[in-house]
Amino acid sequence: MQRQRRKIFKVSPHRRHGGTIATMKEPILEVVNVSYSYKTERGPIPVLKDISFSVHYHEFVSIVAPTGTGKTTLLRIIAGLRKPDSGKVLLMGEEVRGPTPKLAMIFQDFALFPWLTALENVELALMHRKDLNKEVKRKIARKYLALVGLEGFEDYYPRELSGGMKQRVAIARALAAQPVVLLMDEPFANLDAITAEGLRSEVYNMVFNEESTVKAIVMVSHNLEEVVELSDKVIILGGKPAGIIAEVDVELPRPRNTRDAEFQDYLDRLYSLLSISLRT
Amino acid sequence: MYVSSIITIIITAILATLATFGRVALTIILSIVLGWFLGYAAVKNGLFEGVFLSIIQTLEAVPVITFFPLVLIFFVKSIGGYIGTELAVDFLVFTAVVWNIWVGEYESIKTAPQSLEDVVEMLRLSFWGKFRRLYIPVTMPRIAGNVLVSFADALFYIVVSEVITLGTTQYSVFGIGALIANWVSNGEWTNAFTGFGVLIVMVTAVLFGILRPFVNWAVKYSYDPLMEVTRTRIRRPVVTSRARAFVARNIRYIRRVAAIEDAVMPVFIKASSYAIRHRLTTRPRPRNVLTVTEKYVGLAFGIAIIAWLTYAIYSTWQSTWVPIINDIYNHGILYLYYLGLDWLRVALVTLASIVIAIPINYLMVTNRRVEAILLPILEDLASIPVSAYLPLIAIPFVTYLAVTLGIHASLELLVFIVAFLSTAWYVIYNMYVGMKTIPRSLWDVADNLKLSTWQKLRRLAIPGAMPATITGLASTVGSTWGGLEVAEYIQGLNGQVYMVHGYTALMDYYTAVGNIVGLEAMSLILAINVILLSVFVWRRLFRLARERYRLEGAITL
Repeated sequence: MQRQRRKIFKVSPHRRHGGTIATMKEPILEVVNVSYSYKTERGPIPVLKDISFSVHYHEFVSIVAPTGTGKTTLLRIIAGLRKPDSGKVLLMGEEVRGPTPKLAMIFQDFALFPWLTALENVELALMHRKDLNKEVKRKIARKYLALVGLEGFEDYYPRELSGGMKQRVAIARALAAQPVVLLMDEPFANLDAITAEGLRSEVYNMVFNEESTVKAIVMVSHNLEEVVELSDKVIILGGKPAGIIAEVDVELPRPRNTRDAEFQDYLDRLYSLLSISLRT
Repeated sequence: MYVSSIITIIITAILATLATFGRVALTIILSIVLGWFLGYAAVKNGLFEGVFLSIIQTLEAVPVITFFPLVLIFFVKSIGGYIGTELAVDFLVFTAVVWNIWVGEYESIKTAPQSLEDVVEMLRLSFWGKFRRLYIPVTMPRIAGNVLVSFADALFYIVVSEVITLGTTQYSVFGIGALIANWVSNGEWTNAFTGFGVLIVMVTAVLFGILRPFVNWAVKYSYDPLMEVTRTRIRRPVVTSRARAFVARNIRYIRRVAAIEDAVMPVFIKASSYAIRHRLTTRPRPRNVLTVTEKYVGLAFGIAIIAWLTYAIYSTWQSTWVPIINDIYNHGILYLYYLGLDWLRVALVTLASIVIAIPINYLMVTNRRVEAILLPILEDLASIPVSAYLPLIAIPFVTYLAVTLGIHASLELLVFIVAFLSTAWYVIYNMYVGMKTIPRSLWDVADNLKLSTWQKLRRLAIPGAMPATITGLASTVGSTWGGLEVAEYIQGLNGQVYMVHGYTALMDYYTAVGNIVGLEAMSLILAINVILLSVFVWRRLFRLARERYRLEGAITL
């Protein structure tokens, strides 16, 4: 099934390996001096301080930090779901002022509506499109479900799907929204090891695909192995409030093999950086 | 001739029951719809949230029925006639069912999965889109968990309130409660029994034909993303005709929806265990934090509203204000004494209910066969309002037992039994949910360690069932008051009036003789009592239940 899908949806030719394509220097997404604090009844607790980084065309960026650092909050700020106290997020040069389908998110708990079928969940992404009629929406939704390998499962409810399939539905929904940047919040954390591995190896090709409008991915994770496997750039957060401790470019050819010596080197480097972040 | 009159009676009873059920359905649906909007507003606005919650917490435990005469006077005065009476009755039922439902809806919306909320924001769903696809669906399991209780509650109150005698005027609306009361006071016992039989049959029909399927259906709306895949057999139906395809599709749908049903888990408990889980594990999402300006604005609004209310009460009661104070001054001690007596009754009844609920629930939870038989029976019994069959069970107490025990002891016993019958179901039900949702693994550990039944009860079953029992206590006390109100003062049996010493008995007496001033004075005392209770007892009790007895990860669907 996997092999088949690769054949049908050929990965676009300008997909990059390692460095940024020379003609696409302009960043897709920029995070500029973002600070944020939780508002509680006992006053604000600062969580993020002066975070700045940028994401370029066809780049897969991962944000790594120990639990409780505020990485999910950062992702929500990027998505426009939270307003930063100061700083801003720019999507292709324009400030993000609120939630938009151009920034689609994939959640740790899949965020599927249990009362809607797989197909209806994907169709949700097209609700805001007043220009499409019902038939067209249905057709598009079917197409994206097929893209993630769920043809034939359209009428299933989330609870009838396995964890991996649920996350595929969520990916299909995110892609159907035709986003520019895909945000992923620990997308593999709730899957068993084997399913996660399988989905990881496919996700890159699913997302950077001719059918997909996604130009960059930002992922939050605390699984370093999956980070090295997938990312072009890794951003490590640490401290309280959290700031960027290090940025590491991962320059390994794809598909990556977790057993390569180089892969292990990257892993070691990230581990040592992360332990620094734990100390600060 | 005889047969035709029986048929006429049955048809009349059916129509009257339909009228009563219509009122119940209308008020329940109205509360559900209003609750969506109010709950949503409360979740989005911290100011409104505070007001909303304190009002609910106070009114949830109010024995509404005791204020009914005043409500009736208000409606009859300002609207008048049959419509006024009808609206007063509907209002009463509304106040009986609404709090449970509103709390449930508010809590469901408040704890709506964050990720789903993010999704609807990101996908730019319209206000109605968000409501239709997220905020209404998330409330379904809680509504289902509450609807059985609300139905029973509503029936209880509506049956009492359909006919009220105020001084020399009788107000009544067409309904089964009024019909039975009428037959009883005319001594037409055959008719009364027939009418009651019709009521039982129809309650059972609604319960098993509408409410249980609804609960079953609503469970599909519970959000548990990590729930394991259910094994569903997927059959490819041989499609030969459109009709057959339609049937096959729906059967498949039902089967799939029903597939999540654990065979042992009885239908209604799924929704309510979900409800309790939500109640106890309400995600610590920060409450809407108020800015300083908002606080001042809120304070100003609060003061304005209180001032306006005070003025409104003062001006409407202006003429009777002085007499009321005088009345309290003259009879205050008596009122407080009677209030104490009634609280003593409430405490005894609650205690008795808890004591009886423990073994029943332990048996049901540990023995599946007992559970399968007993549970539907209990559910059905709970929904048949005591107020409807009160005259029928009162007969031996005012005849045979009155002679052997003495009228006082006999009536006291009757009051206790009626109050118990209107309370015990809810206590059993709440405790059952708590005990049923103790994780299997803990029972296994208990078995593994060879704990005796007594040890299992003390160490596992009772503490596990406590949070659900305690959080249900506020509303069960309300039901006990309802039971006292109908049983302490019985009118129209053998053309006699039977009453005991008690607060609600005196209120009923005042109602019957048309002593409005006394009624207002007693309502005032009761209102103060209820507010104090809510502030000083219930809130603390709830907090205790939440903090002390919460089993981490205990409640699973």
